[in-house]
Amino acid sequence: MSKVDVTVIRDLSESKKRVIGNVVQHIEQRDNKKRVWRWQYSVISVFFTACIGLFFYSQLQLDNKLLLSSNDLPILDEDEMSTMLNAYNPQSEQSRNELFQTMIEMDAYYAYALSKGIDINHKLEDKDRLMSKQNLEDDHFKKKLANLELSVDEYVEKYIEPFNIKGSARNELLKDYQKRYENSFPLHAYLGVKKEAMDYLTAKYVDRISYLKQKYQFSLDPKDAYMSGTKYKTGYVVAIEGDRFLVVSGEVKDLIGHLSNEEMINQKENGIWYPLHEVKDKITVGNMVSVTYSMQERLGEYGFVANLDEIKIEK
Amino acid sequence: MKLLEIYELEKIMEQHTERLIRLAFYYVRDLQCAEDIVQDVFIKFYDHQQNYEERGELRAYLSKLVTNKSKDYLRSWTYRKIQVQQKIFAKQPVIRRDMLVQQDEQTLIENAILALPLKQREVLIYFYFEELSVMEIAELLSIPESTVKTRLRRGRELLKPKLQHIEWEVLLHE
Repeated sequence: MSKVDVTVIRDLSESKKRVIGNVVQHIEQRDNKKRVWRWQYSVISVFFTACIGLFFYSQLQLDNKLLLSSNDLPILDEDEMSTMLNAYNPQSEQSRNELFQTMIEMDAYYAYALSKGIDINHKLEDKDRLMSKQNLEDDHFKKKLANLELSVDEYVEKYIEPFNIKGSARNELLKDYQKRYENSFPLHAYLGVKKEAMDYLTAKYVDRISYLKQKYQFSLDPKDAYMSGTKYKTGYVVAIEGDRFLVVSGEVKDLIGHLSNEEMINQKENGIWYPLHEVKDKITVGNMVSVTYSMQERLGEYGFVANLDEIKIEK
Repeated sequence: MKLLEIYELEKIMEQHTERLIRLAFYYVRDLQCAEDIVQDVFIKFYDHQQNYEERGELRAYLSKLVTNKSKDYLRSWTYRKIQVQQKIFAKQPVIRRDMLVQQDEQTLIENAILALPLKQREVLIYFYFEELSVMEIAELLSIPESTVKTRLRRGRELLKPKLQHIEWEVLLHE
C-alpha cells in the first residue's frame, strides 16, 4: 500500500489560497523584476568574456581527471557530466540546470568533507546508499544507457556508487553541522551544509567550474533550476535563534518579547522560519521584510520551515 | 481573443484550483508539488492565453495542462532527486491512533489507487474521480479507447486483492 496520505487533499482551502496568492503576486511583481534584469545582461556578458579567458587556462589542466588525492573519486568530471546529460536527456533549460547543479552539489560535499579531514566511508552498505540499481529499473532509462553502450551494472559501478559515496560525505557533514546547531530543522541543516560546501567548491575550483559552465551551458543559480514555484511573504522578523529567523505577518510588532514564538504563530495563524546564514549581519528582530522562497515544510498547524531565495528589508 | 485581466484570472482560479491540485496530487502524490504544478500552470495559462481557443472547454484545457506538467515532473531529474532526498530525510511517519481509526473506506480506496502504477492510476482517476467517459479519457490522454478500457480493466484487477472486503466501485459513485 502507498505511503501517501490521501487525507491531505480532503480540505484544500488553504492550498487554494496559497496558489491564487502566489500566482497573482508572481504576475504583479514580474514587471518590476524585468526592469532589474536589464543591467544584469551587461554583467553577464562581462562574466562570459572572462570565462572565455579562463577556458584556455583550464584546457591545460583537463587532460587528467581532477582527483583530490590518488585514492579519491574524481570531482567536476567531464565524463560523468556528459554521461549523465545523455542518460537523463533533460528537455528544458531548468531541468538541465537542475541536473548539473545536483552533480556539482554532490562533488561539493565530497571535496568539502575531505578538506575538513572527515573520514568518508568508501565501502557502503545497502542502507547507506541514496540510489540503488532498483531506482534505475525502467525500460526507458535502460534504452538510454544502451545508446551510451552502458549496461545498468556498469552505470551503477561507474557513476551511481561514487554518487552514493558523495551522499555519504553529505551525511557526515550533516552530523557535523547538527553538532554546531543542535536544534536545526532538517531543511535548514541541509541548506546550511549545502551553502558551506558550495562556497568551498566554487572558491577553490573557480576556473574549472567556469570552464564547465561554458562548455555545458548551465547555470549554478538555484532560481534557474526546475520547479521554482516562487512564494512570497511579507512580515516582521520576530525571532532570531541558532541558524534561523522567524517571520510573522500581521500586527505583531507590539507582541515581540511578550509572546513565545509558538504563541505568536498560533495567535497570528502564520509564521515561517527561514535560514539565517545569508543574512546574519543584515537583519534584526523588529525588521519588516519581504521574502521570496521556493521550498517549504509544514511545522505544526500554522507554521512552516522554508528556504530563502531573496530578502528585502522594508524598514 | 481578448487577453484576460488579472481579476478575470482570479475568477478562473477560484473555480478550478482545488480540483486541479487534487488532479496533480493523484499523479505526483505530494501536496507541495501539486500546488507548485498548478501555480505554474496558471502562470503559463496567463502568459500564453493565445494558445487557448475559446471554443474548447476551459476545464478540459486546464486539466490537460496539469496532466502534462505532472508527467513532465515525474520524468524529471528533480523527481528522482527528491526521491533520493526523501530517503536522506526519511522521517518516521506520524500516524496517530485516532487517524487510523478514522481512516474510512473511501480513504483506503484512494490510497490503494494512488499505489497503482501510473498507467492504471491515471485512467482510474479520470474514470472514477473526474467522472470522464472512456472516450473523453482517450482524447485527454491521446490514446485509443481500447487502451483506456484495457488499463481500466487491469487497474480494477490490481485493486481487487487490496480491497477484498470493500464494495469499492459502489463507494466511488456515492
